[in-house]
Amino acid sequence: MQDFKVELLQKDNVQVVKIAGILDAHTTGELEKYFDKLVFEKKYHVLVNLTELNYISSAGLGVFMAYVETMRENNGDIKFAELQDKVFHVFDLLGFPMLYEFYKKEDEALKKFIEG
Amino acid sequence: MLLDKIKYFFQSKLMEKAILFSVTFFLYKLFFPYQETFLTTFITEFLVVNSLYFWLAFLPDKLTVKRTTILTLFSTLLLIGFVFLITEAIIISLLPEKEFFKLGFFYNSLVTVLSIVLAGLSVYIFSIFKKLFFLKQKYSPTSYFKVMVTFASLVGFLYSFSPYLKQFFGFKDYIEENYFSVIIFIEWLTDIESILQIGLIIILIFNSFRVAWLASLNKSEKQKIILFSLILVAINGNALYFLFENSTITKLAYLFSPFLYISITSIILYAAIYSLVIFFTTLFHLPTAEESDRKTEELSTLLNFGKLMTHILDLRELLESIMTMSLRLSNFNAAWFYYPNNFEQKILTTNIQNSKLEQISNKLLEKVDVKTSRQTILSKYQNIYHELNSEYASTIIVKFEFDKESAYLFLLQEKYSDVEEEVFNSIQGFRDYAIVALKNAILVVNSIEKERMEKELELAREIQERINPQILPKFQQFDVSAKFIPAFEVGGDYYDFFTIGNKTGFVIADVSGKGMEASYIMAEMKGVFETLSTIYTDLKDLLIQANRIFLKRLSKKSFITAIVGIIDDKESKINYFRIGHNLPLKIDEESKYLESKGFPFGMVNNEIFTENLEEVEVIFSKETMMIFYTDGISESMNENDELFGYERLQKLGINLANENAETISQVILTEVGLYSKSTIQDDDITILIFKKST
Repeated sequence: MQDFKVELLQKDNVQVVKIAGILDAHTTGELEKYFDKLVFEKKYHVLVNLTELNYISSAGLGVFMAYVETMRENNGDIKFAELQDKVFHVFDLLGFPMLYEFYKKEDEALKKFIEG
Repeated sequence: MLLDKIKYFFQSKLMEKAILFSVTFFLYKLFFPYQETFLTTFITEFLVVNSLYFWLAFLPDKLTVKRTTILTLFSTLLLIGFVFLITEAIIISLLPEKEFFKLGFFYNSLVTVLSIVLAGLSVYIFSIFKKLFFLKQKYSPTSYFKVMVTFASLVGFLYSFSPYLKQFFGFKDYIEENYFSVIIFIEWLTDIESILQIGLIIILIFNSFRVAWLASLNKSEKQKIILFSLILVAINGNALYFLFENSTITKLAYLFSPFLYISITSIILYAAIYSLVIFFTTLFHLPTAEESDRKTEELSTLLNFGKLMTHILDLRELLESIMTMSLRLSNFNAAWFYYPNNFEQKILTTNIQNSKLEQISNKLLEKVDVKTSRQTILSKYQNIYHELNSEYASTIIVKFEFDKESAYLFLLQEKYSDVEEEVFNSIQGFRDYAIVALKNAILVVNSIEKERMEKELELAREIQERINPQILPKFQQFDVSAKFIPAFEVGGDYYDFFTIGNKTGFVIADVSGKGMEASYIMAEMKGVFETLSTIYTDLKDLLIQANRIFLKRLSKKSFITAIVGIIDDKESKINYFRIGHNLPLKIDEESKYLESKGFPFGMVNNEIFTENLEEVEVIFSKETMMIFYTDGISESMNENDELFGYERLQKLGINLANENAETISQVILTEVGLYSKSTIQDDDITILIFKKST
């Protein structure tokens, strides 16, 4: 098993969340803690970088669904960048691309956040 | 026999005998107030000795009945001492200095009463001192005590009877040949008297050093004892002065009962010396009192913890106890526990919000090297200092390492004072005990949690088993196979058939989440489909209603993916909607995964959900096969975390195209099982195959 890892980076006013490994029912709990922390610290501009994410299950997707409303209500958002194809496919099956913004590169997403 | 009887006489019904002898003594004294002859003296002293003996034997036991402390004993001593002094003063003021032999009956009885009061008080004082004497002695000093009492009695007897002895021998003065020896005898008698007196004083002083009980007092008690003993020295000193120097009392006592006089004097003398010793001993002990208090406290803390370890298996309770004890050891004011991996903390007596403490803990741990720094002055870190409301001056951070985890205990102090080496060491020592206890508690928590989870899983599996259909419906045009393999943890897969209009509908679904929660949603889903299919004949309407219900029922992070379809057995076609589910695989001349739009249930509002519903119609020819499945197949992993994937499934489908549905599903499941044989099946596996029947 690859280790699940979450890394938080602050870029301008955007909080970059880098998730690595496998995000499934066993690891969502930990990711939720990080999102709780972001909400607690009132950091609503969240860019999720998934370069190193190898697998996501339906429970993993649930985490983003649970928090996106809060972010958007506070003029923030959750945007995704740098997904591996197989991971993007899972998002795609569920219709995520219609509800969330996905970017090939982190910079593009950052730019979007700054432009507002 | 006789000896036993005598023993019994001296050890039973003490109070009754004490009262009997005292009353007899009182009555006797009313008629024979003064010692005039050997006989009256003898009777007087006999009664006095017996009264004293029985009161002394009776009283000390009485003193232990109530919950007495040393301080209450001392306050009693003070009170009795005062009464004693006042009684003495009354006697002195009542009686003229001289010629009080010829007082009337009234004065006689008054003096008798007062003398008995004096005797009673001194007996009481002596009882208390006897108690103190025996208190907290390692070896029982009974023999020393007996020697003291014997000496006092001997002195008393000599004092009573030596005049008669001297007189008796004095009559023979004129017998010349014996003259010399008589003088020698009288002189010898006087010498014996003074030797015994000196001996008594020496043994009184010697027995005054029995003050072991002092060590067990704390500082404030010791301070009080100093004051009390000083007053006692003054009272007893004064009482003694009257006894020795006032001719009235001396004469009275001598005439009344010399033995009693000696007894009272010895007791008061003993009281005075003992009080003096207490005073000085306590005075010298006082500077170290605080230190010894702390040591005692520490010891009892560690002892308490030993008991605690075996009893507290509740983690919260244990954390609280660890904090309480650390606070007691360190004399700090507040504490909290920070347990990063669990984000669990417990606060004791701080006014800071719980939510803030996690941040403060992290900041402190960043700044402070826990291994090397002992006491951290908080004002060095202005931010942290302010976040703690500027209430705390310094902190001790204690690291608890167990297994791979570590927890931190923060102790806070309101006013700065240096933590001594010893205190720090004892906290460190205490920590080692605490770690063992923590490990035990965590083990228990985990095993309880494990048991709970196993029970839950069992129940969840049972629900799932009951929900999934046991028998498949029969079709004329279709060869159908459905297989379901549950994961150890219930994965939330669900498939079912239902009747809609006059056709048969099917659903294959995957509920997000696992275990009890998933099985609960599955059960609900079955209910929803069974109900809605009786109301709606159009599948699209049914799905829209279902989404409305699931939006309300599911939590924000939960959703259900599904493929729901209607089987047309006459036209041999299937119309289905993909509700965010994995793409179904269609195998015929050109095999492919069929793409279509569609959001899962419970994820988007009904408007978006409806807009994105896309009906797919598959008309079956002879070669057509539809494989519906859950991600348990496509996402099953091998030991290198590689997915089984869509291509493998597709190839299998193509290769197996000529087999019947049952064989195909069987082989696919076997292949998936082989692929992931070295990993644990993490998710439910469901496969539903429709083939044109041959």
